[in-house]
Amino acid sequence: MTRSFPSGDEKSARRGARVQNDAIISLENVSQQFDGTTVLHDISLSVKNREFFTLLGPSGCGKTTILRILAGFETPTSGRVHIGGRDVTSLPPNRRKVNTVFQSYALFPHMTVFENVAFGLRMSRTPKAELQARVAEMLHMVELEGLEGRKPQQLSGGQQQRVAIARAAVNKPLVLLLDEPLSALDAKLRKQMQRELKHLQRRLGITFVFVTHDQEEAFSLSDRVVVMDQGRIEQVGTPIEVYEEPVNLRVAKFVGETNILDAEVLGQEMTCPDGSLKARVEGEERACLLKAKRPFGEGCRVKVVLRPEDLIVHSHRPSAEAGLSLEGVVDETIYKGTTYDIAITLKTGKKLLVTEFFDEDDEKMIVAAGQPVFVTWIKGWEVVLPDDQA
Amino acid sequence: MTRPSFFKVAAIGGTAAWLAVFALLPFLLILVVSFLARDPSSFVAPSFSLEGYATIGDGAFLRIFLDSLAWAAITAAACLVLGYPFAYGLARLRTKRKNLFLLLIIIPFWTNSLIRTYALIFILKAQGLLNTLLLGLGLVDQPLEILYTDTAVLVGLIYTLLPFMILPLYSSIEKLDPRLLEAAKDLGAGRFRAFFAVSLPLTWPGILAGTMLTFLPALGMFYVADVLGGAKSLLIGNFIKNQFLTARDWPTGSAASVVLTGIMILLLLFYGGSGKGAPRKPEDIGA
Amino acid sequence: MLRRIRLAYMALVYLFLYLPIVVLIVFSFNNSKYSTGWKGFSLRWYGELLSDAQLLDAALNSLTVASLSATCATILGTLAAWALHRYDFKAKKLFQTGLFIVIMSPDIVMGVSLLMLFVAVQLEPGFVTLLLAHITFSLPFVAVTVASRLAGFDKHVVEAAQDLGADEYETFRHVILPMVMPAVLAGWLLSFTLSLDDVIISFFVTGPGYEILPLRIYSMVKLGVKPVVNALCAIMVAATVVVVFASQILLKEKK
Repeated sequence: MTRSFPSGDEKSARRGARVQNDAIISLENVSQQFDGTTVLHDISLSVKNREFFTLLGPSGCGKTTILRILAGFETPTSGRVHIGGRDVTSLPPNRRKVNTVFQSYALFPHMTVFENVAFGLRMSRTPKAELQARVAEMLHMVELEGLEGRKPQQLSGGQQQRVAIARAAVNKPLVLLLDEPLSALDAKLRKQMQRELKHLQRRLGITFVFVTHDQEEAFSLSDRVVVMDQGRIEQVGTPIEVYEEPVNLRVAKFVGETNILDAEVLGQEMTCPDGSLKARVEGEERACLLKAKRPFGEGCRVKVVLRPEDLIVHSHRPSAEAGLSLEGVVDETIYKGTTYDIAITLKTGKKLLVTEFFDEDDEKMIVAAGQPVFVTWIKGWEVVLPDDQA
Repeated sequence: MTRPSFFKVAAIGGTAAWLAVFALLPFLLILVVSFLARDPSSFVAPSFSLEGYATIGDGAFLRIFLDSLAWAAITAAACLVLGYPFAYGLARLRTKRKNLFLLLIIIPFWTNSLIRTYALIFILKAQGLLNTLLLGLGLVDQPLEILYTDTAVLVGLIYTLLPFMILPLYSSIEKLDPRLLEAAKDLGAGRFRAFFAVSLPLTWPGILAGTMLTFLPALGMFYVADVLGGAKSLLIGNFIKNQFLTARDWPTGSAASVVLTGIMILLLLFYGGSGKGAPRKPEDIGA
Repeated sequence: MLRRIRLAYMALVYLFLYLPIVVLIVFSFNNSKYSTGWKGFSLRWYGELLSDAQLLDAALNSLTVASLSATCATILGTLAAWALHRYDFKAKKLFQTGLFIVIMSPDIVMGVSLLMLFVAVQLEPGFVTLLLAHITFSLPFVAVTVASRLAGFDKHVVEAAQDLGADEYETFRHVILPMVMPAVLAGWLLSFTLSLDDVIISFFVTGPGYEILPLRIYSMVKLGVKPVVNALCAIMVAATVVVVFASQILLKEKK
């Protein structure tokens, strides 16, 4: 899944407001208030047909509210909702061509697996023969054949989840909404279900709108991700865009571990065409060049965001070619199997986390607690962000 | 959910209408009639009058009222004293058969109260079981004349209403967290102190509910007085019945009914007020 | 030690509650017109019961009213419970209070007030008035029984039904009603029992032309013990026991 970085500006990355021709869903200026509290602030979003689209954010950020608005369980206080080209803002849920997979599955306990899955088709008065065929096909797709006669209580958590998915998907909706469907599963099952969901989405060719607070899950499943916080959209983009080029500190911190260095801008570096800045990082005497996506004025305080895997640890001061090196002392090392984490405190007091792939044969990589070290980073991998207190 | 569904309207409207016509309206009628004048031929005359209330405020009738209130209070108190230890024991039972024992209390609760009252005759009459036992054990020389006295009515009321006290008490005691008692004992409280300081206040809602469910009916169960007390005893229930069917004095009967309802509302307010104030969960204490 | 005292006390209370009824049932088999002594086992009172046309008539009437009123009360009560659970409407508190008041109201006040209503609209006391009264006092009990069952439901189940295309009625009929059926049936049994047991309210709203069992018993026992009545009471107690067990089983069925 390789995409080139769009060169769009931050505003567009935030709103994704351009309604595209193949947009199956579009939310226009949707706001939602409950009891005087604003849960969603002026949200505009569009989801492409056949896309796996994820709403990502911490609890209370509004992602589930958006899902419920799409399903029809909530009516937005203001704004319009379009699905499949139709304005469905005031359309009740049973009239929308949208189906939901609930977090608690919400299977009908008194009905068998077959009856559960067939329910939607029954409500739309599908002829019996077609109903039987479609249900059978769907059960085959989710690997639940043979369990048609069981009741939900007789199934495991993973099986119940597949029934919930089958029950929603069998109706061939325009969009399938999934509200944190995997959160009740244990880690191993979760990973497996993630793979299966991805395959299912491809096979069905239906747009999936997925809600989760798990960043890893969002990234492994999605074509595009919306990062939300406190009722606002922070960034919309592909997982790579969101991870490598976060638009602000909130997004940067949410989607992974971050190391945030303080820097003061000295000026624009004219010799570099890519808009590099000359800056003093972490109070170091020597200025260095930083790649920046936007202009910053002289004297601006900025934050330099680096992921743990962007940093390199050296036991001895490296040469000037490696770029700026920061002095520090190792706090502790954590061996995680595939990776080797090193926690470092710089002489400025700043704490860093460095992650390296563990290489058994490299003696140089093992460091001890208390050992003085030098930290550099891979040039060009830094992200410079304004110092808005996140 | 912007267009109301027919089903929704029918469900709410249907039942609300029923209640309005058959519960609210009749009570309003009672209220109105209590303020009307009496008419020998057509029950009430359409003119305002406080006769009804005056009659029940009158000395002789007032005494019947107060007596009846006293009996109801004694009944409720007796049921509480008799019922609390039972409910406590039932709640504390640690056996698989607990449901069976609970069922054994539910059965008298649902059995026709008239039948149960009637059954008491076998025990209380001169050649009944009680007297046979007492005589046989040599505790008395003569059979006790209990039937057709006030005592019989009281026993009848307590007997009939005891399950109505036990069930709410049980429900409340069941919810009591035994760890609270353990905590109290851990802090040095003896058994009695623990009971009065912890168990009793926390089961207060159950006590209130049980009291209401015994006190109010005890005022109105006229058939207990008729069957066990002969013609002599009068509850408020008997009084109202007589006003309506024998004396044909509807305003007075209505006035008495209004007063009875007033007592109920007072009790409900008291229940709502202090019942909610009493702590029911550990989190409430000290809040 | 305390435990033994507690258990002994409980046994005593059970004894107190059941002894009179047991004695009553025993004497229904007594081969004597008077209940002064045991004169041998006999079923003659049950036989007399079956040949007493008036009593059988009253019994039939009671069963008719009980079944009919239970059915109507169950329908209305279930709808009421569902409406309260599902919808938020302005008069909701009022509605709930209304149900609560009917449950708590003293029978005698309900009895005379309904009498007054029927007189005011010039409705002859008889089968119809009795039926209306019984439905009215049973309704809230059904509502409470069904409502407490509904309270335990996953709220998303209703949303799931809607999401899959069901309208309000279809949701109720295909999803909710089957799930709540045990409570509905228990409610029916409850109403049936309440109807058979009622004395005070029926006393005021029935007419001479339509006799029911509790009132017949009432007029008979005012004059003291009658052996036929013993047999009748024994049967009614047995019926109550059956109904109580049945409703308990229904309410316990699903977790």
